[in-house]
Amino acid sequence: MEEKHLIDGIQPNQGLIYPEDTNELSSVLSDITEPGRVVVPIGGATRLQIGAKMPTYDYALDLSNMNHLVAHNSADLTCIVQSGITLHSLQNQLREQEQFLAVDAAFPGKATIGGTLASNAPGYLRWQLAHMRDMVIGMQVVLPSGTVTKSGGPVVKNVSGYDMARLHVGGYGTLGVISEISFKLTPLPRRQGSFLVGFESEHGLQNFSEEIFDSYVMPLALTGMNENLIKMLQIDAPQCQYLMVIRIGGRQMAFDRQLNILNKMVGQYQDSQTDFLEQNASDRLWEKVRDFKGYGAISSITGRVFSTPTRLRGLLRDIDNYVEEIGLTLAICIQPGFGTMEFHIDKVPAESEVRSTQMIERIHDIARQNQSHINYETLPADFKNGFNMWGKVNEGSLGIMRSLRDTYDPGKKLNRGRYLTDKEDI
Amino acid sequence: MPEVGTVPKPTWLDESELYKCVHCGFCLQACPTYLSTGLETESPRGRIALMKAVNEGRLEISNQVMRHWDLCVQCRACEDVCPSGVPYGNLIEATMDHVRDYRRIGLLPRLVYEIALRYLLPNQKNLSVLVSMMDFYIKSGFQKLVRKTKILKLISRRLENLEMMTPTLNGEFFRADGHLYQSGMADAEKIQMLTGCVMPLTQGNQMRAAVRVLNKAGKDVEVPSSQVCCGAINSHVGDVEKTKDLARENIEAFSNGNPDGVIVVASAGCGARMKEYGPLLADDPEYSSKATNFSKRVVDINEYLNGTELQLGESVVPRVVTYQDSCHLANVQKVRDAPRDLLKSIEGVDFCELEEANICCGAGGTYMITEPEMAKGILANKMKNIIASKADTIATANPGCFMQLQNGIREAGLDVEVMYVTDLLDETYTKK
Amino acid sequence: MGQSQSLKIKDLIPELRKIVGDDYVLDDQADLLVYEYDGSIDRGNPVVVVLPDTAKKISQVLKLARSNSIPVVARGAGTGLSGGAIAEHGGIVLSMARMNQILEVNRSDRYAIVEPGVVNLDLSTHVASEGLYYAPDPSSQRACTIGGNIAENSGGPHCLAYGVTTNHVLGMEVVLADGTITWFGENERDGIGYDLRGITIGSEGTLAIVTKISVRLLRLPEHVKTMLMSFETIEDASAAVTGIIGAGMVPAALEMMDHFCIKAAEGAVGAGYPEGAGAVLLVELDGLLESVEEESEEIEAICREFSPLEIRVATDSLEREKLWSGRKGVLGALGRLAPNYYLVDGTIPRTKLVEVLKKINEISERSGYPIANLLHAGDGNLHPSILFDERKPGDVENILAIGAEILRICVDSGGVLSGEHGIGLEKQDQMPLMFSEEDMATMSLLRLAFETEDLLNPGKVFPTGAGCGDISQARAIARVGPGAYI
Repeated sequence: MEEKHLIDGIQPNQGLIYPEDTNELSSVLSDITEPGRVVVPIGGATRLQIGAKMPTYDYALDLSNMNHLVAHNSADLTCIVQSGITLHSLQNQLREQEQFLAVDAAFPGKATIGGTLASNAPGYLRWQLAHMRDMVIGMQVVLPSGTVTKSGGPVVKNVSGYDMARLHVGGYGTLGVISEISFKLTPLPRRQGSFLVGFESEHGLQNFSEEIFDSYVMPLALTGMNENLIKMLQIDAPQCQYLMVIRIGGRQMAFDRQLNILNKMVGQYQDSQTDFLEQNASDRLWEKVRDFKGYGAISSITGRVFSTPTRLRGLLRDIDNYVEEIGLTLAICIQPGFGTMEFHIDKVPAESEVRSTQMIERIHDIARQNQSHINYETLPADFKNGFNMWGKVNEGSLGIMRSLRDTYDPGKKLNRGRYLTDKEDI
Repeated sequence: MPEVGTVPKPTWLDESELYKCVHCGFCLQACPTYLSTGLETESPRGRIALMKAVNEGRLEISNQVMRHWDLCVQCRACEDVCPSGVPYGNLIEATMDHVRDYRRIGLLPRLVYEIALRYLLPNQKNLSVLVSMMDFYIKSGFQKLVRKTKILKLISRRLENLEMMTPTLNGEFFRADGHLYQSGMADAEKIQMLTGCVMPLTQGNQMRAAVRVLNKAGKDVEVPSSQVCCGAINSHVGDVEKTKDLARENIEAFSNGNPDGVIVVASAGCGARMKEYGPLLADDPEYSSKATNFSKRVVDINEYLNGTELQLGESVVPRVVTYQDSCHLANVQKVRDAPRDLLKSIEGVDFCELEEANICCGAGGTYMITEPEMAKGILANKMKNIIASKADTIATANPGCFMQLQNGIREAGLDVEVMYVTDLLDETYTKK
Repeated sequence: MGQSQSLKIKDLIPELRKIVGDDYVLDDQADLLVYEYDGSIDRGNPVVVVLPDTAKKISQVLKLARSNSIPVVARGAGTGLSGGAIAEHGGIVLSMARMNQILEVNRSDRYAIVEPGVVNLDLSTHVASEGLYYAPDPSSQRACTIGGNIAENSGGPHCLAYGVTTNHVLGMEVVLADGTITWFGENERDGIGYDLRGITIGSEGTLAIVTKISVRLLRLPEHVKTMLMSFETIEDASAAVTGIIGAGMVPAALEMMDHFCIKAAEGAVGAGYPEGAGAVLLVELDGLLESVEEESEEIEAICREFSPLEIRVATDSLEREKLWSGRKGVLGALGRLAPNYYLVDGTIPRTKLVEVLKKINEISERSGYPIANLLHAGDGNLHPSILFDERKPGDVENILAIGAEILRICVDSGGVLSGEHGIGLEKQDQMPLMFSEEDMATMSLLRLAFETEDLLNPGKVFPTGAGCGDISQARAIARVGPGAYI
């Protein structure tokens, strides 16, 4: 038994299955017919802590052997991969043709593409390149019954039948197990680097990002972090309260021009300090940010905020004030242009469960007041029970989601009781 | 799509024109009645679909069907955006002509209608008598009394609407009396001018301004006395025979002098009609080639002036001006830039584009009288855009548009002046 | 449409009038007749047309329809090319024409909330003064509505770089089949739960009725450059396309026309293409001035390898308009060459352009029907247009068969049935070319999760005959797996 398959400390009680291909995956699922059995599809297990706590589970369906790049049509900027391939392995193979998949997630050496999609992992390449679901052009999925089904195809423009892949990106493996994906790819920028700006206030950070939003600079990624995170990640950055990292890329002239615009704009911010990192140093910094070690620590709380750029301003301020008020440390990583944020509250005192629950609820409230949503990704295991990590989905949508779940997985075979719920199942 | 091979021979329409429509729907957003109602029935595509259905024997002509055709303003904006080149103008005119026999209207209205269209409009003398009566009605103060007491509303809503459209008369009539307006320049070119029927009576001052500007451009302007109405209104309501008669009369009226000489027209609707005399009389062995030649001579005054070396006057015209395309100038004659260029050339004029300037104002010849409700709906939207433009002056190029815009502005209580493009040019010479 | 359905609806008309108002219920024969078509070649007569102006009224209409088992078909501007808005099974047509307000433009968060009847181009025009635009630009953008775009997940020439409708919709208010009004997603760019927004886009009105839409707005680019390149043969032009994409370039638009289109466009708008041109490419680049310049140089260099007859470049809007005029006018121009054309829509991998176009030409030669090729070449989206005369006996059957054959070629080359027009009625029977019975059953299960009565736009997308009867079979697949499926 590998530690990898422990979920909130629980081992699969029937065993471990490593399908080698879609056929095996299909027969494994169709062979599990006993009512009540719970199967958990697992990729790199980097995000398994997400979701409500299961009392027990039966099979760990580990897809890490389905790890091939099936086809890379570089002249067409598309590829087909098996879902168990790690992000690292995939990007390495694509790089040979100077292309990449605009999907990033923490721990790419372990994280699989299937798990990244299914768990809607946060990534930083979203400023210019949009959401990773927009990179998916086709998908093969094995339903809980074992039926193999596909939608889309390896072409970049397609409206033939329902866009079924959408259900499984962020579907957390509750409607089927992703087995193969077609992606559209992006050419690697000729030149890349990162522009760093340190600010003395959150205000400066927000205003500057708004200015970038309004300018002709098209960052590949843009993120902001507070002092706590800078320390936690041990980033060698200019002295500041808030740091913004802007990743730009392009051909030489376009690259220089963007750098010029940024330098010019930043000149108007007093108390700001800048730095520039060439590609290698820049890549290393982004790896640090991406692999944010606080994630997954036993005693910590991490959450994601879904909002809009302007609402995020108030939300950030309110959460910051609140956490300071209760004497804890808040680390944040914010994508101002995209309207999302990840936060991390370290070393939550274990003694009072009531107090901790109140805290979590309070942060949910703050989000609601700012018309935003929070999804907790890690909570200390001892108060995971009975608490809804998912935040609230409106009733109308939830009704359809339940109906989808009932339709595709009537026996609740996949990931029972973990998704969008603190009760038995959605 | 009809059953293959069963399409009957067309009854009144040119089938090759009718079936050019592939119902793509590109015309919808160009159509003022569709924009106003959101109803497919009041769209060019819908009207053509009804023509096809009747043509295919799937639908009988009923009042309801005719209603949708009647509601067409005939601005022909749809033609301009049609990717398949459907000649909608031809189709609707032929349809209006065809359905005249189907109308069950009372004897009295029919009589009034016939008198108005066959005798009053085409004949300047008869029309001027009527207009003089209207003038008396206004100047005597009787109009004020009528409007104040709202007495007409008691009799008929329609009559009240009609009354509200009584044009404001602008100075004395301009008569087509054979006069030659001379420029006083030595090398002046002699041109001819069509006065039209409505404009010289209701907008005499504006006609005189137009002539003054032509003179300044070095043109001697002759106004042949035997000219008649261009026939636009007749064809609009489907009286093709009368239209042809008028066309033939005008061809004769302008045949003296230079056979290739320019015929300038200050009214966009008339210009559009006359530029299409060629196709109109294509089946007339005697007039077919004469008509084609005549049409070639016709030019809109804006188009014409924009092509001359016009020296504007010294006066600055401090106005914020916007421009409403006259449909038959923009959509039929395809003249869009010339009036704008002229306006922009005037010193002091701050020109701003009008949102939806290319959408009809709802005037449509007699449309504002026959379909007052729809016309008002269309006009209301136009007023919103005029307010948004913040202009103090709105320029246009056709008497119908001129009157309709005046009505709209009066009812909305706006402080905006309606002028012809030529009026604004004229101000550079006359304004103190 | 059965007689009984028609009678039942006639009885409901007073109630419908109460809900939406007298003026907005149409049931006269002549009025219904103009709602029997859309931009496609199919036809179907509704029993009544209603034009509601609020989600609440739509909810009431849906409840009434549901309790009387009457189908409801939503309709935008009726410009669709696959029959999506046709009331094939009669019932109620729900016209969205009155729901045409732009409700909110949020500049700092870059979104707008619009009603479904808002015309695509009107939105871009409306936000242009803010320096923003809405990216998806279907050729019918002057007339088509955002609601209709959602139903068909519409594309357009500029979707090559910016993506199709689904990439630009943040969230939407919908009315479900049972009358529930709810939002799928909101104004955020990401969220939790199944992506109901994403699954509804492109579902051709079969899952829910969309009543408000939150769309992403983009910054207008700093610089735009259009290049028109003429080649002697379509093979050269196709090779240039593959070269451009293969070199990792994603222009804003990359369009291609064959010799037939060139001839037609030349005749209609005098586009001024060089003599002997067998194909033209239209490339548009936008973005940062420098990146446009650098990329255009590279593109020019790639194209020079295929000995172009001419390369023309335009940067100001008037000149760009000129270069686009031939492309934009070409469909109308085809209409001048033959009474009808049947525009086929399919997508193939971009590396297969030469091979597929050659096969299409062979079909044209064999069948005697001229086929003009117009392509969104950059994303492999073909639009072969078969010229015919609907009044000639046999023509319609023949061209439909040719269309089907072309689609088979697309699918065989690794492509798909539709790039941007949707399946609707037009291609429902070709779905099996691309999808197994299990695939289609899985899709119909999705529909079942949204509505069980088969009343929202029934008879679309799935092959004819795959109606309610097949749903139980679909259920069986979910329960017991493929082995039990017959």
